[in-house]
Amino acid sequence: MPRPKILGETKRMPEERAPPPEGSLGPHDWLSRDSRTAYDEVLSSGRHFDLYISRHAEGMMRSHATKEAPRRLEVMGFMLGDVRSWQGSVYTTVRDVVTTDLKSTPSKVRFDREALPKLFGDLDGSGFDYIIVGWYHSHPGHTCFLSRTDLETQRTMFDQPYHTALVIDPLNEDVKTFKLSNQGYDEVPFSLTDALAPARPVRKRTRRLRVREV
Amino acid sequence: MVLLTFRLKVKNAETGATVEMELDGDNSVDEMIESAATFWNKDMGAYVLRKGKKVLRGGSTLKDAGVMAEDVLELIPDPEGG
Repeated sequence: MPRPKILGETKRMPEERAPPPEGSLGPHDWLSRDSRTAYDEVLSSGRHFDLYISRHAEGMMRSHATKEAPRRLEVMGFMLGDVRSWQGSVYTTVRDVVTTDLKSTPSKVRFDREALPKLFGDLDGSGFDYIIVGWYHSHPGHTCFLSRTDLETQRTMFDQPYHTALVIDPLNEDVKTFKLSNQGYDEVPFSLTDALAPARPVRKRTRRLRVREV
Repeated sequence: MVLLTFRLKVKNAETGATVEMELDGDNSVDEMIESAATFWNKDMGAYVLRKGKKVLRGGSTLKDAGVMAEDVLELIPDPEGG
């Protein structure tokens, strides 16, 4: 039996496009003092951010994390967006997020395999030619960092320079975004923007999600 | 035995890249995932392959899984948070 043979690859190159305008930007309400300082430094430098998150996507992630906060269960999902370049440097946009039913504990979370069709349906329903530019998950009450498990996930699956991990702590009202670095991982400043909108009809999808404690 | 080969595409959801593959209907889903994951230097155990809303299961043959010529399948990460 011959093995599957790869005949060729078509890469997707970053689209040359200006970042969201400054007037559309804003910091996340839950940034720590240090994260807010880093945000202000990027904004005042005239450089663009490495990461822009639509207010819609941010709201979905916050809502998802907050919903399970009373049970202290972690939640998780994918960030969908695009990789773009502008004047020789690359930045990432997060336009939408998708998730599905989860198997969760206060310190672990995975997609429920039986619920993957729901996740795939939402990927198809995203309404644009997405790239999974990163993932989000919550640390209810544990502050925002990448655990050993998170770091393994980041190294195994999200190892491109534009891949981001967003960690949100709904109990301490903290949020941070991270990328891999030579030292392990670094926090990267991000901005929210009104200039990115989901490409699908908006509805409250997290209401019908089940998070099963395991 | 007559082997019927066909071609399809697999998209890497994390990068937007696609590969064109030549396969046989008796190849397994695992063999296809392994080929794509190896090409992209990925750990095949950390991914699932989808055709539309359907998860393609590892041991089944492409024929049994309903995979056909010209299909566009997608390699999706299966992350764990902690």
